[in-house]
Amino acid sequence: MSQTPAGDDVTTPRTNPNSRWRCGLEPLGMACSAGPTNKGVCCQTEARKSCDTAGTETEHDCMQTCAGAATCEIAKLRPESRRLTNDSMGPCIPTRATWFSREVLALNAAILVGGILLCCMALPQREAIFVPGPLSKKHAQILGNQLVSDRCSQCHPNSHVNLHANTHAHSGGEHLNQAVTQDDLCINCHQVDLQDAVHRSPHDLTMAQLNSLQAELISGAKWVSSRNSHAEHSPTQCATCHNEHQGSAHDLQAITDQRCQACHQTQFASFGNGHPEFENFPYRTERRIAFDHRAHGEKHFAQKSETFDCKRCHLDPSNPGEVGPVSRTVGFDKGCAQCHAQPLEAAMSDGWALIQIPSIEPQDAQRPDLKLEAWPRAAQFGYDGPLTLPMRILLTADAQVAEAFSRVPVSGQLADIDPRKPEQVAAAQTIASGVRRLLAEIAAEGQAAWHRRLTTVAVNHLKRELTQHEQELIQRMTAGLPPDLFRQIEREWFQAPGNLAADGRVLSPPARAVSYQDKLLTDDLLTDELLTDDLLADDLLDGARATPPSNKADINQQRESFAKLSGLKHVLQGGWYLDEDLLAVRYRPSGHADPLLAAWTEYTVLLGAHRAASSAPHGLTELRSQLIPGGCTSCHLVSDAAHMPVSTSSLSSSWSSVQRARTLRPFTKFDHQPHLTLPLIRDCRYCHLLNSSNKALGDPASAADQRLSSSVSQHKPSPLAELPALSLDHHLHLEFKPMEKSQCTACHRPNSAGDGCTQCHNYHVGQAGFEWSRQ
Amino acid sequence: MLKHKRWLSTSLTLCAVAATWLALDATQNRLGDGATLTGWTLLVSTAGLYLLTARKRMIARPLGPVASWLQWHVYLGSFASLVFLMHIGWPIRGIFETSLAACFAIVAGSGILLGYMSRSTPRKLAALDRDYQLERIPVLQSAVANEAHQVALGSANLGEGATLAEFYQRRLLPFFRTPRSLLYRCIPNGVQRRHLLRELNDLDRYLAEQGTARRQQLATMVKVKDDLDYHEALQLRLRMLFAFHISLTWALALLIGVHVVLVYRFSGAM
Repeated sequence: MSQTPAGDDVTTPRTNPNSRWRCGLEPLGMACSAGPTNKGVCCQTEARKSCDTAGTETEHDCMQTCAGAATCEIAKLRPESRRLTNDSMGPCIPTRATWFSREVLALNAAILVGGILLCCMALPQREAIFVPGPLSKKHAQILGNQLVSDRCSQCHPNSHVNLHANTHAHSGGEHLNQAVTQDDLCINCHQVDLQDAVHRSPHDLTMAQLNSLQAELISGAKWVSSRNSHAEHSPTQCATCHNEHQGSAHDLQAITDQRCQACHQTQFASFGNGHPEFENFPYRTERRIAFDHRAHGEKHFAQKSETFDCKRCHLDPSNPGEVGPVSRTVGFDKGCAQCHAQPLEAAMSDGWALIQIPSIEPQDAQRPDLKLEAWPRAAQFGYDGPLTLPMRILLTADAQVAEAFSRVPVSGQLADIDPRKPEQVAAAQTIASGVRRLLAEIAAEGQAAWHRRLTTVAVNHLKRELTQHEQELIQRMTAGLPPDLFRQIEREWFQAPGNLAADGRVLSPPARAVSYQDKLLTDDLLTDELLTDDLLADDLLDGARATPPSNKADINQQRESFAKLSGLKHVLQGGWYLDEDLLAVRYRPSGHADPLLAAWTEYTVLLGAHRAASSAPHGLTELRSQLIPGGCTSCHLVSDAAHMPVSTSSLSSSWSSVQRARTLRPFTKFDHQPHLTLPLIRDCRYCHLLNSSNKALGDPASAADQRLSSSVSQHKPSPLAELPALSLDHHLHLEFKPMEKSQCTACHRPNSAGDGCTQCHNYHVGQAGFEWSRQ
Repeated sequence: MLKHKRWLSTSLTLCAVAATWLALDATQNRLGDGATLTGWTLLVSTAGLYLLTARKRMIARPLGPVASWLQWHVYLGSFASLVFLMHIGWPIRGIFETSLAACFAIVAGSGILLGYMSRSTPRKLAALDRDYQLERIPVLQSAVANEAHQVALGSANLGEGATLAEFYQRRLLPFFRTPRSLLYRCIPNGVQRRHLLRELNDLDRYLAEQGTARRQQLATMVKVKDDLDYHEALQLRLRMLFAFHISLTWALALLIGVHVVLVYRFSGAM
């Protein structure tokens, strides 16, 4: 507006809009048309200066003459008086043009801001100025001890890289940025908890796992499907979901539902509106204990007039609080021993016959080609006796014997051999030879033979090298095996002057293997005369150990008392001993959770799980029946190898059911503790309702027998244990009614307990201990 | 026609804002970087705002009227302001980020206010009898003050008493000789004008015929002086606001540049 000449007076000089200076006479309406110079000097001053320099005194005017002034109509219209006035006023003091003033102001402001920025960059606390916001509390705690200058570089790879070096690297074809990324720095610290985050893929899963999971969900008509195919994906960045510098109170793990629904295409408004119903939740996880809640509650506890309280087994009694933490179950001592310790002790009293010498036909013992000359006479009354599972496993390491097992009856009992069938008779003879070699080998080599045979069997059946855990398992099965017992078998049962090697050769017995007692029993000097000699009746040597038997009757009496060794009496705390009645090597467990029994159970499951469906009528059945009545696996559901990772010891962890198996449900999470604080749902039965139609589980026969019978009916014979069927888990899962979504939505609503995705779901499923992601 | 054109421009601006919002939503739904999208949109639109300054420099080239560029500047500025709200997180944290946001908000806010005032001020000025060039107003104010002084001096020689001269000395001399208050310059109003005119009218009972004529002359000069003040206040207010709007533009450009460098450097992209 101020630029506009007053009215339409074309005679008024118009100033150049781009000129930085204005004539000082302009407010008086007497501005000259030439105007000040670009340096802000009046044109009269400038003209006089040039004239003075030229040395001439000429009258000047400030009217700028243009080339066409003679013909210019506007110039003609300008009154002469204006020129005179200008000249009479003398030089003016030019003023800045408005736009130029603004430009100067803006430039000064920019210089001021730039100076402030430079000063800030030079300050030691520059990070505090340029940081886009405070760190979250946990990161702030970690970085609080770092130097201020080092804090940024802990997460930002290029924050302190020298610019010159960076430029040089680029010119040389190297890219510092590609060496370490921001995600790398995140994972460096979080790799302990998020081992698979290095994949930078959805849910930290590999592409194969994602595709497999997606195919499974789609085929099962589940609710989750992906908007984007997992065939290709760009690496997921940590900062996509975890935004730092949002203040100390910011929760980095708080993820909006929209983040989840970016990939999960089946969208719904909220948990209560549109979320799919649960499917067998929360009973999809593998159970470790075959505990029949209904039978215990309605029968066993009722008979004892005791209250069947869930918290008795699922709350740690050492925790004084009423509400947690909830365990899957407490240990045996706290939860089961009160009722089951005594029956278990009774069942273990006779021990477990790992090796039992079978009975053969007397004529077989006379055949030199079979090398069974020294076969105990007590075991020569025809084909009879069980082939114990451990013995069969150990014999399978012998190729000849392994082949012979396929020709014995399905029952595995030698008593079922039909003497009219030569192939079965030959198989029995081969097995007997194998037993002889087995005993001789162990007597000669001790634990090494035991260990070698177990290793051979495992390698042959697994068809791969054994893992460290499997090697440790065999070591546990071998540890404590007493070779002296087997040497005693050689001497006393087989009357062998020496041991037999694995190939049947007779080996010289070790000199120290002949005991003082054996010498006495076999020495010809012990005639009746000498035994009745009064000299020997004298008490020459004092002490019970050094005193030889006084007479043959005493010796026989002493020998008789040794023969009646009882596991319950003599091996009370557990250990190995000989059963001379049944000609067996027995092991008496030391109690619940005996390590040897656990190792044998794991080993059997390991072999059974890896076998093809071509064998084993009743492997685990025998293990249970021959071990102790209702052995380990009647309560412990040991995982099979199909669910067992190669490199870990999760099979060993099958014995532990104390902790809730978070890793078995990696995509969901649940915390009992806050729920048990609410009076309405403090009773566990609000969520966990027994299934009234599940009658089979209430039967004492239990589903374990169903599993075993189905296993027997579906598989062909084999010398080894068969895969323990997991159908029991399925039956046990039917024990409870699956939860319904409505039970949760009563509280989990937007304005109540919340209904965000991450409240119940995990994103990072590759957490430590989750082995499924390593398959 | 002008109204129709304004509605069309406003609709196009709102459509652009809606398209940006949808693109941001789609980006976030695909786990994309929404801040990068809005950041570059904001950067480009802010750079477009500087084109008006460049256009003003190029007066000789046929690039269309500055008024059209100004309209483009106004709508692009409105668009950038809304994109700015999409880009920033709330609450804003960090000293530098807060400074940048504050600078942008000041420029945008002053621009919006300037857009409103550039439309309302001409209407107010057009309601007056005459237009005055801002640079000439001080001279005219001085001339009116001198003339009023002469009239007041003349009234003292009329023999009707010194009523008018005393009133001039007491009430009108400060009005003619001193600049108006800062409050008046910010919010120009006619309160003082009405008070003075009423008080002048009240002097009629003490004046004879000649004195009344001179009182009327003074009243006319009060009106002229107040019109000059009103012109000056409105024009100066607009000019100051414009200067305020312009003053932070280069500082804003500098802060935006530093912000972009920091973002890409700390994300590992530079």
